[in-house]
Amino acid sequence: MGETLGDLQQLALLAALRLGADGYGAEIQQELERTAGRAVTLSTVYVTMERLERRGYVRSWLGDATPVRGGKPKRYYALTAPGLAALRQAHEEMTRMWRGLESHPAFGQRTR
Amino acid sequence: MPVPPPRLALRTLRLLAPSARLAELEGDLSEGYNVRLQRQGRLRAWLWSWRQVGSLDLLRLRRILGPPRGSQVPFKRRRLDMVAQHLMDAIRSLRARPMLATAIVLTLAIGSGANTAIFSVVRGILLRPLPYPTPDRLAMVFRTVPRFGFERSPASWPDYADWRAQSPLFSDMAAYARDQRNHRSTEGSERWQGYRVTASFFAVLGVAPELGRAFTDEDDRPGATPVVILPYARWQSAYGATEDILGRVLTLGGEQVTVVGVMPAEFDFPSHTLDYWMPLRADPLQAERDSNYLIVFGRLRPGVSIAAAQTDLTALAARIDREAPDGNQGYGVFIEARHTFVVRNAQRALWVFQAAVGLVLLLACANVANLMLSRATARRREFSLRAALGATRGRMVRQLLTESTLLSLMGGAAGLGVAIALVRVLRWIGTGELPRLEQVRLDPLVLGVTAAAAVGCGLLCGVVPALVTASDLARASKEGPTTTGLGRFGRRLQDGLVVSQVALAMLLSIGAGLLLNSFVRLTNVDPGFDPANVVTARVEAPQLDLPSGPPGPAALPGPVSTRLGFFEDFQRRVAGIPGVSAVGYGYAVPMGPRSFSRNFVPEHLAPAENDEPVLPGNVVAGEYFAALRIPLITGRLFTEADRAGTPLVMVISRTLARRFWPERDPLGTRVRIGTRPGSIVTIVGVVGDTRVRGMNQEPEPVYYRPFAQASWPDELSVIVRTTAAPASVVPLLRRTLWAMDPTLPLTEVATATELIEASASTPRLRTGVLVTFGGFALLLAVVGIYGVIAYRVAAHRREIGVRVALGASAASVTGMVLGRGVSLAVLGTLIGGAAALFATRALGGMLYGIAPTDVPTYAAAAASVVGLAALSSYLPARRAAQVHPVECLRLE
Repeated sequence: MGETLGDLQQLALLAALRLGADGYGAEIQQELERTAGRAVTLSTVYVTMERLERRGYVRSWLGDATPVRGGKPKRYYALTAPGLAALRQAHEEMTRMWRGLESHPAFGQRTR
Repeated sequence: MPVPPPRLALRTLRLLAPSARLAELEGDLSEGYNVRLQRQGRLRAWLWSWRQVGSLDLLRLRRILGPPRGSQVPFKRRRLDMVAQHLMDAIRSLRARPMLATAIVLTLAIGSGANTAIFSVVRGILLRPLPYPTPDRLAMVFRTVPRFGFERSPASWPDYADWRAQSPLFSDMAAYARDQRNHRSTEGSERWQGYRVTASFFAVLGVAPELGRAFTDEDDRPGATPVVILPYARWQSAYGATEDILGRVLTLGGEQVTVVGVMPAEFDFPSHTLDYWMPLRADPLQAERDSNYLIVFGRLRPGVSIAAAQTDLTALAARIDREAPDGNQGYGVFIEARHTFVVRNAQRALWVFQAAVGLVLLLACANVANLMLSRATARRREFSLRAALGATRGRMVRQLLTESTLLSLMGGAAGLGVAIALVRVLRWIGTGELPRLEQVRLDPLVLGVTAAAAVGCGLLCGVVPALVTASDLARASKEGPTTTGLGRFGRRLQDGLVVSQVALAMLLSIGAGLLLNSFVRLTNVDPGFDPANVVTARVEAPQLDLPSGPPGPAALPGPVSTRLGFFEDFQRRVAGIPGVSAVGYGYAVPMGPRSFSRNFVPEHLAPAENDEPVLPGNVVAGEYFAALRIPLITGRLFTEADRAGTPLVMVISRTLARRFWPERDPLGTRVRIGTRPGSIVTIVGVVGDTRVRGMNQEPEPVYYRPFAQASWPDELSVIVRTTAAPASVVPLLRRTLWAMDPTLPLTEVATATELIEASASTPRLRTGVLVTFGGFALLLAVVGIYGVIAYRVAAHRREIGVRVALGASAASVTGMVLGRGVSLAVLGTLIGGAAALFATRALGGMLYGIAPTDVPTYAAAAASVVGLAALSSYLPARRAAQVHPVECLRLE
């Protein structure tokens, strides 16, 4: 069930991918806000990541603790092969659908 | 250096977060908080933290992760998991029917908000103690004059002094009298309102000045250096709150007065709008025992009751009145707690408001219960399905209760908004009508009441549908699933709720209707003069810048002729203003604040010395009667010839003429005015009656004397009749006055229409409040009836379809449904009407010209309630008539 990725799921996967070795909760949240302009709460991030993990798209592990975190560990997320494949597929679908629309009057201004 | 996130937020997170992700969430919260603290500042970081722990996704996360497998989860956390689950379900189910949820929240908001607002007013005015030490020991001491029905009259200086010295039950007494003076500064002239008070005044109240000193007995001696104490507000506004105010010399009423003190901000005795306190300095002219002008109050010794003080002082006063040669024989005393005195006029109205708003809350509760009941039954299929899938009955009841709690919390929050808005409105429209209004605010107790009202109402309304659903489920499991709606218990409950809603709405409509009716009568009363195109203002003669107390029985010294000349000159100049058609003066204007009374003894009467009639009088000049269009009935009005030195004359009102000369013509009769044997005045005319004290007061017998023959006052109200808009004349009036003397203020400017409106503002406030509540009540009742009938129609579609299939006409179906709604409404109306027969007695004193059992009002209320009920059941009835049998049967 649920072969396609939700919008927030895609963004979260992309954030984890961009962050690489730094892909943990607080950083994913900030990356979403910084790059995508999406202000979501920490729990939303964890709900999304948990669902992705259950679909086998990411795996997670507990990592180090820093003083700024009050000595609490980070939960890191990394994309699995199926996760990467799903992201790639989503991107291809999007690109195909966008193809030719760059010169569409409704979007003309954006590509100029 | 990392800073830990807000403690309470962290705790909330620990409570709500699933244990499987708690450690990393805590770390992330701390990290995110620190990042934002550096970049965006404390407030933004704080807000961010709370948004994190307030997120619904926290509960969602908890549900996804569930309890860790194989581990022993403590009971507390398991229960929390359950609450989280219920909460999520509740939110989802409310979102599924947003209109219904909105209706419930709005109903609760109106009910709890209106209650909070009125309760905050009741608490501030009636329940909060006065802001003085041991305020319950402060008591007012009045003179009573039983033969005139005066309950709260002032006392004289000698009486006050004797009482103070001799009463054993008061630890001390003080007295004050109203005063007003012109304050002159470099910025011009301004009228100040103040009080002259005894040296004991501040000590009896137990309040010391914020700055400087209180008055001493030295200040009170005649001939002492004049001193003044200022209220905090005036010190702040006019003198910039600088400490060098002490020792400053002000020009007040033509005297050089030294500031010796400033009172604290919350000190508001005897009123919170005053400009100064000055020593009383008992005037020898006003030191006679029958010159009653002082308001007396005292502090009771600990443990002394008002009743004991009343008995004791009554005996003491009676002895003094008997023994003193010029005593006030036939007078009594009346002692009243200060708080009772302050709130006496507002008390009844406020309790009526509180009762009315309580009824609105009851109605709101009934409405919410009904809506919830309909909602619960509409979800029968959902519940049967869940029951079939293994959900326990307890779990579903808990589910319904969670939903109603959530709704009541939302209703309470919205109610808080309603309350804040309503309190603002009440403070605005109640200014001048309600005492102590500045004490009214939303405090923790008041807010507790809102919360209790909303949550209590919501829970109560949630329990009943939950129980009904539970019993329904029990029935359904025996009889198999049905779709025909509520069981018998549920239906009866719903009917009962509708009937009580209608009854409550009827009760409130009758109350509102009676007040509205009485208000309309009040505004249609003939005041006895023509208020259109009349403007009045207070003018003071310039030469006599003396303190002007209330008129004493003795003549004030002063050049009467100069005063008269000034007023005549001003009158001539005003008459020359374009658009002015008549100019007159009166000491008192109708509906104005001033009045005085004198003994009035016609020649043919020979009453006992202590039984002489006392009647209100007025001193007039110029075209007073023409300016107000008060008609002359017989005889003549005053002329230029009625001057000092010519025979004293007066004009009387028709009621006065009828009272003393029911058979004869009073013209030419001689009357002694006041107590001195020499002041004999001849009646030369009779004029029409005017309502002097207010539209709800019957016309009083009044006599008028010409200013040219009176020895006082030094200030009069000018009354100007115009042909144009009266307000347009005011600037010209002021310019005319300033052309004569630029230091003179023109005060109390008002049109006669405004004076009448102001006199009716108390009834207007009461009517407005009750009509608003009555409107709320009707609205809620209509929504209630509509909801129930519409729901019934929906639930009985199949039955209706069968009837139509068997040949029932559309009209008969409509009639059946309509009949159901109307019969419930009629029953409710009867109950509400019967209750109103008793409840409206509480309105007694607030009604004018209408009985609390006025039949037309009851009939009109009943007609509108039943009419609205019929209308609100007509829409669902019509929908029922359009039911197509085939379509209905296909549903099965």
